[in-house]
Amino acid sequence: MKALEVKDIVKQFPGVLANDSINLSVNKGEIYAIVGENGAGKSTLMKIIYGLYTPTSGEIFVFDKKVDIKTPHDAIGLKIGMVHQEFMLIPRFTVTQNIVLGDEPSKGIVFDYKKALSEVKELSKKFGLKVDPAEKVANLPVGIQQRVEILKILRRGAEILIFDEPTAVLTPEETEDLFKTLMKLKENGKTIIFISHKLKEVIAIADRIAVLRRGKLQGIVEKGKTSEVELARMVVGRDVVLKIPKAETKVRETVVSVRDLTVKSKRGIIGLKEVSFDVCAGEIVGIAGVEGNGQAELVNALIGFTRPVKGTIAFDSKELRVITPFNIRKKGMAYIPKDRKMRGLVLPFRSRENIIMGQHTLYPFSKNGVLNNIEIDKFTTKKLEEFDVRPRDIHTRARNLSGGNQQKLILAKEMSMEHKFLLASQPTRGLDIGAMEFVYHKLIEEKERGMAILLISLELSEILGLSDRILVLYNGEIVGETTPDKTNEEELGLMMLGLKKKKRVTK
Amino acid sequence: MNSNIPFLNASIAQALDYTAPILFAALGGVMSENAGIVNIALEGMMRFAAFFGVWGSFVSGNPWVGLLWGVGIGILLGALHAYITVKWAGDQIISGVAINVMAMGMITYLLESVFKTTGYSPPVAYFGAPASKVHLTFLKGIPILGAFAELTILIWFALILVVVLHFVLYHTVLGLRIRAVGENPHAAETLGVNVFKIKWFAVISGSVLAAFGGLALSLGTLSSFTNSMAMGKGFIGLAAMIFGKWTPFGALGAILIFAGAQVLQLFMQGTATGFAKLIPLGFYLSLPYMLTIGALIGVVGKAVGPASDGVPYKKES
Amino acid sequence: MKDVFKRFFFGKREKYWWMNVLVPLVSILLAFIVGAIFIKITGRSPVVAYKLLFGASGLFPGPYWKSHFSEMLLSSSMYIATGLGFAIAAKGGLFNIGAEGHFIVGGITAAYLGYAKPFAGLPKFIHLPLIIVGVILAGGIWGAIAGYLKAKRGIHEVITTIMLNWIALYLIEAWLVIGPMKAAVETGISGTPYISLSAKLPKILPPTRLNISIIIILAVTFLIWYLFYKTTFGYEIRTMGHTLIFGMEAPKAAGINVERKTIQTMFIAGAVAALGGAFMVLGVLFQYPPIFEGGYGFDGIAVALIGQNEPLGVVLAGILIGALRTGATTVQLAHIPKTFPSIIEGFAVGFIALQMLIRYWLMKLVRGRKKSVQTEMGGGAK
Repeated sequence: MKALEVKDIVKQFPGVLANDSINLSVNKGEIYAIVGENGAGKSTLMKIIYGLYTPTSGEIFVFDKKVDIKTPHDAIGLKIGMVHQEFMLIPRFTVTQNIVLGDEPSKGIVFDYKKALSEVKELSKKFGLKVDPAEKVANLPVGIQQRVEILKILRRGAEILIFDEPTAVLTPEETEDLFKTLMKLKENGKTIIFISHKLKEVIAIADRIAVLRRGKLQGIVEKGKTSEVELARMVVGRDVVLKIPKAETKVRETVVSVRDLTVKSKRGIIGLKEVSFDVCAGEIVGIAGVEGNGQAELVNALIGFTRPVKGTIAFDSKELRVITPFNIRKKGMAYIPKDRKMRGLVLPFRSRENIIMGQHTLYPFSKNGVLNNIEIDKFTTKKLEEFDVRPRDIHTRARNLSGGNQQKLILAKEMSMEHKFLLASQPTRGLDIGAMEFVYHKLIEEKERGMAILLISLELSEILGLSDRILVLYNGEIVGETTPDKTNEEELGLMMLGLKKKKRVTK
Repeated sequence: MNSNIPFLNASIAQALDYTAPILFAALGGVMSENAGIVNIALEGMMRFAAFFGVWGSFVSGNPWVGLLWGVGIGILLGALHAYITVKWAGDQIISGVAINVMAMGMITYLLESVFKTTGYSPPVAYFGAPASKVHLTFLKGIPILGAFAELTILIWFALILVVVLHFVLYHTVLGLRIRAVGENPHAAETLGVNVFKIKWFAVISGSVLAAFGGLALSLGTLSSFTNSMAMGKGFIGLAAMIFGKWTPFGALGAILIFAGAQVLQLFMQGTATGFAKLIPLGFYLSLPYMLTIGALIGVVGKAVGPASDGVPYKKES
Repeated sequence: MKDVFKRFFFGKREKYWWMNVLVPLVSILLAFIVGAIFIKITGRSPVVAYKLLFGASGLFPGPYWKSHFSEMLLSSSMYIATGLGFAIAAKGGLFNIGAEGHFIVGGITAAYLGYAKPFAGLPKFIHLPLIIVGVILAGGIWGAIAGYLKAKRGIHEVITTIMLNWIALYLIEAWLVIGPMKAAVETGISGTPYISLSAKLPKILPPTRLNISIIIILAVTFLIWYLFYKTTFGYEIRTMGHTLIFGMEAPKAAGINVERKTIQTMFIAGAVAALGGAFMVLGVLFQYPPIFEGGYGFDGIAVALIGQNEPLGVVLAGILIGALRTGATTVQLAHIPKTFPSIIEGFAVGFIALQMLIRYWLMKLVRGRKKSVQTEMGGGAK
């Protein structure tokens, strides 16, 4: 029996053909993966199936019946549920409030919260998804938040579950947990559609894999009949070697040294405990760790957003007394934030305006406080070329750039600033393979130019491939230091969970 | 000391009279902004309703008819604000300013057209008339509580509404959905909540509450409309709502601080002796406003509203 | 020519750049149409009303044109001042409803420095600039208080500016004007004493009242435009304007001192709005009366919104509102209340708020019905 079938789906956006007559059919009880680069049309297709977009043309069949899905409400009625890439949760609400919203148990007009709590408890037991129904979502780690999302759609009686890039924000352990959940759901007879651009995962979990490229269906492969390399070729349309370039390391003088740094988190508890490390010119120090184990606090202290409770940060062996974003940047720090839209760019600004942010007070961009537009334009044109930002138009507003190009613009901005130290916080987050490779190349280039680089990443392959030294952060503390040739993903994974410690070789 | 009790009670009663319109406005703001629509037109809506209430009462001789007229104009203005901000995702601040500016011009215009007067209307039947008040004679003479012995029905309504609104927002299905829409409309939408319907409802009912604020002025405190009467009260309601962190009881608390300062001001003006007499009137009058700022500096700190408050919601196409 | 104009005001290559000009114009036009309908419904003649309104507005030549023209510019200069007060803050992402307070603070400062003894004896070329500097400082500081409370204490500027308006009003009108700054009883003057001759703004179109206030405010507007678009200072303010209200931290992460900029922005906004009050005292009233004619501050918000928060737009909107108010005095001849222009003003702002609809419409007109107009609607100036 077919759970879902789409026929000749076309979605035309102004200027972009996002879906070009796509045909798919998904059997009941299978895990069906859809892979493709960012912008290949995966999310568009799923949003059509979920009623968030209306297709330009085409037909959809659910359990062999032709249907017309205009709103998510229709989709829910057809037992289709979706776990979105950006969670659709309300942080201020409790787990239960989030799960029952839109279909609340009630006595008359009164919301029966007690009944809702017990319903959620039961549901979580039934599917083996452990959550605390009374906890506020804001206090939950990402993996658990995702569980809340899954419970939310299961409560609506969903038979077809769509997961949009579900592992993008998860740690390896959380991913494994999710896969176990998916298998359990499959045993329960649920149909799962799994969207991803992580090929390894897709091969591990899916029964069948459909590949999309530039809005077109490239082909469908069965479980066990493909390899990562073959799949990658289908996805990208050319041979790709997802290997990270190696560079020679010439470690020189210490640029940044952090000593006993203790920082409070936004919630007011100690998030980083007495962390010490050095970063030298010409090396990349990788910080591995599950998200929420002190990375945010470390970053905020380093860029001067949060005043440390204790400890010091020294630049060129000179201790900084007061750390503000202004004076630490003057010392020579560049910063690639993990959240491009919040900390990287001013979205309504044009490329030419964004690229000078932070160096706008310097010659030749301005003199005596007056901007020099000719110089700014010249500089922007050059940098857009150098960092391959598309479109090359210096007047494009940042909000109209794709994620990958926004990131390239940030790299162009940060790397062209006078600096010695680069803080890269999850620099490839949400990027497709092409853009990732670009970021890796640029980081290696930086290193070869003698920059000191601190790389914070959740992707172990990235940490292992790029770093000269690796520090593992767990629960706000550095639980181990190692080098890529002395460790592997498995061992790092254990350390990230605090299950294994490794003595620090150096300080 | 005892001789001051009647005066104290009268001062409190006066402060309550003064409080009710602001409280209505603040509750209107709470309603609307919890659904994510900023309403800075509270002021203008009060003005409109104050006038229409008097007009209705003038035409019929019955304050209840005036009340209906005022509520009617509240619904209309709410629908206008919702049409601009919900239907067309227009800027909520600009829409609010538009209604405020319109209120300035249109009401004066109508005042001159209807009553052939400038600045004020003739007196009409109102809720503040001794016979129309809610009499709780047993409270008389008791310090503080005595102030509640003779209040207009609108003041009681305002106080009861605080509880009602709290119940609606935090204990009903509707309230959960209103808050969900104000926090994350996209999440609510994906769960099948009709975001637009909820926003329309919240904006219109918020406007009706603001309209009651205007009615409490013209048909509660006074018996006529005067040009300067709503002056600033809607904005103070807005401030109280923010101060009260977008909750009904918070808003009430904020207004009580404000009213407390008001009572103090009246009390001091009336009974001050010696040194206190030397302090100029201007300081007493500005005391409530200074205290509000002072309280914000000292106690409350950063006020955080609903996460999507003020952000226009557009359905993806 | 078109290209030069376009580049000058909108930057290069903005598709549908004319939309940003057309939207306010269409809004104003629609407001006049709706205003006409309103007059008709209330039983008067729109033709008569508009004839009287525009005849005396100062915009068009006619009888007594010179005096209407001068009255228009006198009030326009005040509307432009308060409009800029709102627009400057808005550019920095701040919602400033304090112009009303800044206006009266400017007024009382000008009055005091205008009559008080050590200053009153000075020659005009020293006295007048001194007063202007004093007004800028006083208004600026009053504005900066709200900026400080926002930056350092995180208190929403909407609350603080509202509260500061009332504090200013009561301190000035329930204390200063009836207390320490009250004119001596035997002079028979109510309010503060009259300012000295050396404090009056020089007239430029005798025998009318028109004075240099319009020139001052145009110069200030140019400076503000230059500041926003040509200097690093203005650049930093604009980075805040696009991020602050959404809780985005990109400017802060880039090393821009957002807190200090917030205070400075509010200082400038307060200073410029205060100039409006000074114009009133130094050019029209020559004293601070017991009750100051208010409303300029709140109308300033409308002026800024109709002018789309752009300096040039604020000037044009300020002139329009000034003209309407000037013309309004004569509509009373047709038994139409003189507050009639605020109705038009309100409708105009209402249509500005509905600009999504207007843009959608215009786009349909331009591109025909079939094509989607969704994507072009996003990029409007704000």
